[in-house]
Amino acid sequence: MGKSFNLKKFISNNAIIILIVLLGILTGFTTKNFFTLNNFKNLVVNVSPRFIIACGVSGCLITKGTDLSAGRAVGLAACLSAMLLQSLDYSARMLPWMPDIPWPVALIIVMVIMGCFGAVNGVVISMLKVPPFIATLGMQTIIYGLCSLITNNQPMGGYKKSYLTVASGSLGPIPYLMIFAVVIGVYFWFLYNKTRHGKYMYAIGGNENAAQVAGVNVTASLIRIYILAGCMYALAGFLVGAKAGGASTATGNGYELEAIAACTIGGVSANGGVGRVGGILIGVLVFEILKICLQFLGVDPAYTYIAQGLVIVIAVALDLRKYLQKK
Amino acid sequence: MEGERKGTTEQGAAGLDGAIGQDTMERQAAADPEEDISGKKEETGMFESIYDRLPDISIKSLDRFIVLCVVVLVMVILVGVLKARHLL
Amino acid sequence: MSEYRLEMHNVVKTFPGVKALNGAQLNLRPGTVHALMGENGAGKSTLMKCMFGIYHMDEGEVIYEGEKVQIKGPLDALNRGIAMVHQELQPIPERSIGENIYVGRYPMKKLGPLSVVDHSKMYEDAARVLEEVHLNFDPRAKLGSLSVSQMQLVEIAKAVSADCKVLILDEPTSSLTAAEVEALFTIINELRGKGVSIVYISHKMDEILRISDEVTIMRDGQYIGTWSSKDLTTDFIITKMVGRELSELYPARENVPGEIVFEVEDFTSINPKSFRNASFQLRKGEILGVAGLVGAQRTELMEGLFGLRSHTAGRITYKGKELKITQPKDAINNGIAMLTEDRRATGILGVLSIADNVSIASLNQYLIGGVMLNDARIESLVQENVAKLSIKTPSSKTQIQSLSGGNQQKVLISRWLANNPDIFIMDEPTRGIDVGAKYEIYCIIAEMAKQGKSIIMISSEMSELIGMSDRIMVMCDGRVTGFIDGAEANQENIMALATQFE
Repeated sequence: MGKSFNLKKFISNNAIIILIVLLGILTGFTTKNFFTLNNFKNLVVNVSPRFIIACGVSGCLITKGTDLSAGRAVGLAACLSAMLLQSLDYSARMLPWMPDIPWPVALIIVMVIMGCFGAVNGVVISMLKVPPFIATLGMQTIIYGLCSLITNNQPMGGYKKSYLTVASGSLGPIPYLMIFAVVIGVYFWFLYNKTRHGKYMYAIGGNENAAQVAGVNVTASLIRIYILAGCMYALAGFLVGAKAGGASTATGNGYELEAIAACTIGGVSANGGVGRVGGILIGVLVFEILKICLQFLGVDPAYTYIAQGLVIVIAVALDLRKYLQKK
Repeated sequence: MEGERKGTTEQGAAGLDGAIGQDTMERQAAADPEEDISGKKEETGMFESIYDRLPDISIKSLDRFIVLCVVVLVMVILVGVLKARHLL
Repeated sequence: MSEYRLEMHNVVKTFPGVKALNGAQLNLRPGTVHALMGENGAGKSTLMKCMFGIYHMDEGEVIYEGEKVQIKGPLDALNRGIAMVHQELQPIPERSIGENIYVGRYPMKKLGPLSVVDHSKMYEDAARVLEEVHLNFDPRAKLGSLSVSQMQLVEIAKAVSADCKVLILDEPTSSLTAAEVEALFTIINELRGKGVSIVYISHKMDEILRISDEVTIMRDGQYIGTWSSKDLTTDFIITKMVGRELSELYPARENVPGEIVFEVEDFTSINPKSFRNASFQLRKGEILGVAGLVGAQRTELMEGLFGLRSHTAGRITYKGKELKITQPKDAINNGIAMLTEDRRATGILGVLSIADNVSIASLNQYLIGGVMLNDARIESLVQENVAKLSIKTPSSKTQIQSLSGGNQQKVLISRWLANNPDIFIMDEPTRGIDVGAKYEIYCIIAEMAKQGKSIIMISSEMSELIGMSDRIMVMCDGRVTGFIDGAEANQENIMALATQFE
């Protein structure tokens, strides 16, 4: 086992990242306005909510679970935010009786609600021992159903100015969305590296049985992880709604696949026990850069969709490969 | 396979312990009761994951699959770009 | 032409974290029974697997009948005339005895354009083979209808049937009755007469001294030496296998057991076939060995006390207070620690660093402001333990799974010591650990007892129990059958209690 730089290993470990970097460079040289500040802001604004979702899912993945309800949860959160923050003089207000509330309050309410859904996930997974795949798949359907119910399948719009500004405004050159993402990133970094919860999470992912013998309260940790994930979906949904200026039952559809794949590309293995916030960011960037490049190149969105799917498949296959090699 | 499968050494040389007169210690007890364990115990501990439920795939075939996907990915992007430039 | 039929020179084989074989060798003459001895982990089975091509050697060569060879696997070995009877049986119980004997090399016949298995020839041959080894089984009977010892004999027949020049027997008598052992020895003598080279891997002294001509001893993957068996004594063999004088196997213990601190009464499992009505007392500074056969439910009892298994009845009293333990956290909060039997499954957090593994059970002690982990203090805790327990590791950030078994065990012991437990349950603490590390762990145990901690040590190694315990508790089939004072303990009285089935 040589310690020297193994090119083959480097490529296979970072294949996707290399590909996307190449694509980025290619796009930059064949199109106009790619390497501009505007485009960078565009990237940042798209990355931010995705990054927040990925952070939420990461805890589930690190503990050898998953959360397939993420996408629909983002959608429900966006709809709830909408219902709470529609402009008072909007004619098609969803909840006519809703008073005018400041957006931070609305955000907290939505986070609490989605946190409860997360808690249900956590309890079902850790106490009833239902496999996370199945539990969150069920939750996904339930959340979608609830969303349909409360929005009556009506798309919503007409938001308060202050809510819309959350997504469109900036602090100097820095978009508010980026600030949210940075705050969440720092929080997760701290949580994962400097707190007991983080250590317990990695321990559970590394070897749940051993963690239990060592006195880790596995049940409590798992529930916390899924609650936190729910809160992240809430925040992301809130931001996605603000950015789009509208929300419907279709919002967030499929976001979990991209989030999970982003984590996988970023080094959060489905085998559990490993994963760093920096890696998650890289994973999310890969997807967004891919999207933006293809957009700039004028490619039909259908092809982009296929390309994204392939990237997801390759990411999982590479992860599986790493696992098989270790065996 | 009678008896419990005890933990193994790094070399995978399982089984009988000790050096001196261990004969009768190894005699398997009659019934091996199925335990009521609060947490499931698996031999592999470290490596149990969803990837274990898959059938045995060789690294070689996985590599071929990955290369195939990458090739398809590049082609999809290429076709998409060429179509956008009306060259296809 | 060399006097040796098979030679293995300078074999080196490394697995992650451990050098399993380091310059091992073996030289087999025709028509001899060559015993291969060594402690668990000495490398005997690994060496054989290298010969067979099951493992790929890092260095070294195999010379068979004067030529250097690269054996590609068991079937290739069999074709060359090298057969092996494994320690771990791999029978196919649903198939017939004949099929099991010829699995992978069925006699074939042509049916038109197709090649099919020639069943009648197979059973004919099988019947002959079974006769040769004096076994009276019907080759068409299902293998699963035989007892374990009978299956082992069939394995032996299978190897013998291959008309081999080299036969390797790995712990062949582990499941055999005395009469069957005699039958085996008769077969071995016949084969020896025919000029077959037989490798006999075992640690049963009496058998080895009886049946073998030469003995090769291995220790920690290294070749120690080869001797003619008539020159050997049991003591000499043990000394060579262990690497230290018999009197130095276990450290001197200076602990003085004090008053009773821990009492268990009528502890019964939720599973009626598991432990029941277990009662014992534990003193401060005492090392209580726990002996018993496989299946005696020793591990289960201790896991029950630690909160890993459910119990329906029983009391645990600690320093006069009754304890309610339903999960490991309860036990840990009350000063109990447990080193589990299978460290890979329930001990180490493989992908995590040594620092993480050491600190995981005591993180509450290293907080800044109640929330943030004090990495500096954790690091110093780790360094302290690395020094105190002589843990060999490149750094505290190394993944624990790349350490050797002995060092992993020491990391786990550090993990528990960080909580300063009063009672330390250790389940097979030296299993799968090389001889040097074993001694170090014995010293650690002795030191803990001297400091007033109470140790419960489950072990299947008789000498370890006798050498380290102040008192030995014996279990049989889920019941505690008796206690023996350390000074009076010997193989006989321990076994007597261990086999006291109802």
